[in-house]
Amino acid sequence: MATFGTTQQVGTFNPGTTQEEDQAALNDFLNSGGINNSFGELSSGSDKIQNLSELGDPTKLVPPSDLSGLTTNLTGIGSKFKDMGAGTVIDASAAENTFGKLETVQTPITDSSYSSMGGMIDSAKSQMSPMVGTGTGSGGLPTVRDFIHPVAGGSVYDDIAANGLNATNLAELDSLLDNATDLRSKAGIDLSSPPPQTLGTTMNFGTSLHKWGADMSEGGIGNSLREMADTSTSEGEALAASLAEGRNNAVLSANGIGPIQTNPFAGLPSQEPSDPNQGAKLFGGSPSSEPVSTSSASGFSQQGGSFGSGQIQGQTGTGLEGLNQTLSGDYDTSGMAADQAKLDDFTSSGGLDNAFNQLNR
Amino acid sequence: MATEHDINLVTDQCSTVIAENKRVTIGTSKAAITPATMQAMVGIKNGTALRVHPNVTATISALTSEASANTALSAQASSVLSKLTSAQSGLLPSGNHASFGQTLQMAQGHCNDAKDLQQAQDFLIDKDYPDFGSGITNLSSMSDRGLTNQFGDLTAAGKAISSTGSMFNGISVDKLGTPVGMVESLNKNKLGNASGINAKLLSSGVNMNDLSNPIYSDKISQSLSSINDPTTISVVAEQYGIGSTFKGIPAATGSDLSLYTGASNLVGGQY
Repeated sequence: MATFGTTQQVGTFNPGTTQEEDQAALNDFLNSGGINNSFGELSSGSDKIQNLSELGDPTKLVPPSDLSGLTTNLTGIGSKFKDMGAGTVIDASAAENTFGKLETVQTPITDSSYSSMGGMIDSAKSQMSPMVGTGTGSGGLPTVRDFIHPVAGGSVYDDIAANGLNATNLAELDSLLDNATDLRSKAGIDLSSPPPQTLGTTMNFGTSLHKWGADMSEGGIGNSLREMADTSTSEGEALAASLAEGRNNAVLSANGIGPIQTNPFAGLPSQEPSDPNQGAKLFGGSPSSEPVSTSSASGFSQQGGSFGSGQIQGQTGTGLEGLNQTLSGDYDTSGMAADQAKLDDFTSSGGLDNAFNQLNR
Repeated sequence: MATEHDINLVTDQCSTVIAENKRVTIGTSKAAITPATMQAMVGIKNGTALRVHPNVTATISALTSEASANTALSAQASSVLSKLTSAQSGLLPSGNHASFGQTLQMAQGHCNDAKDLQQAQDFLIDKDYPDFGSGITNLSSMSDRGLTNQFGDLTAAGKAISSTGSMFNGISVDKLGTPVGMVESLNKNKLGNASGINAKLLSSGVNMNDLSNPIYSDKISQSLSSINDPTTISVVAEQYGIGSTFKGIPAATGSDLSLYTGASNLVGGQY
């Protein structure tokens, strides 16, 4: 068979052939099945794809058995997905795989038990409510203060402190205490066996102060803790300051200002003090090449060896000492006076010393 | 209104971004260990950072006095005092204020859960299934987002989409299977001129910059239907990877090779 490209490269003509040769190649290609061959089950006839429009019609592209049960067309499918929030088609060939992963579960018992979604939610709400408990928050929901008022105080304590005990505020306090006990039970808080004081529990409390300080809403933790901070001690002052830090950080962060960096080493791998250079790299590697002079410089080392090592010609010592000697060494600097002056300026101002000090530290 | 990927605020210390219409904090430095929090931890360890609220202390004094007095409130005051002091010692045990931190965490978790649950219940209680989309009629269809009810058969729907090869890749899903989507795709894949569709559309008076305008729907559809050159259909099908069709691609006769010889970018030809 004559050469006429391939089905993958239809139209790759050999520029060295004549038009007649191309035609012969084309005839060979067509006689051997041509494009039909590349597409498999093709033959001529009126039942074939008739026009460009039909290339977008699945009923012309796949057997009816494959589309059995389909009650819409591609437009309907696209419309539904658009309603669901889909954007652009990325890879249509993934459709079968994606759809194959979707699961449909029949729910006949639920359907017969609840005639509407609202009915089911209402039922669920009444079932869940006893697990939630009640409190002084919005919608009767509990607040943190409802759990901890025996130490954090609240309006009834304010009333008693200001006006003394009476039947009303005593009954209210009695009720609040019972409710607090109930809430703690619902939340799984067992005051009879508090967790031991460890570094973990202490750190957990301390590092949560910023988060809690950001929420100073009535009934919230920040508000309660602020009122409990013992500002007659340094530690109490610090707790109040921590809450303020958290609140201020939140305000400033919303304006693009991050918190003060108090631990720049957070998350960094630890390293042995005896090997301070380990893990600290200034540059990545690259293939070695001769330096290119931009003036009439000469005298660079032709020897191998890494910069700063004793192998460099005219240099003794290694590390910072070697570098310094390299910079002040006996090199032919004709034509580099200006460069040398800048280099002198650089070294005299601390230059590399300054930079490497950071690494040696 | 914010658009997708609209970067809202980025500094060297923190940043937020609006992605997919949701504000996301993508970077905020962690600084929970500060001189203040460290000193507070010392107080938490030693039990010196927190104290019982002064008004609680005052209440205890009042209850103690009332309980010891022979009044109508004495019995109840005594009972309340017992409850209060018991709760106090549990919440803030002497020398172990760290446990109070755990109590706070658990209480806050409970409150947040309760709030989330109530918000969802309040939202859902006056809704019904169809409010959440077409095809959603019950709990079952809610779980598959109404797709089965809407499409009839998910497997078949998958095959229908896949059958068009890459034709609608990169096209908005609401144009899936539409003539407009096909024309957009043909042009996106540099087949608009080569296939002849652009010429057909222009001659029909279709504004190529306004293809989605419904007034052109019929003309676009007619234009696509009018292109019946077998070679053109074959090459377009090949470009989209529609390799094997049920109906079959019409045979190219070799009588019209203008598509091959006139569009090097279509099939990678070299001349």
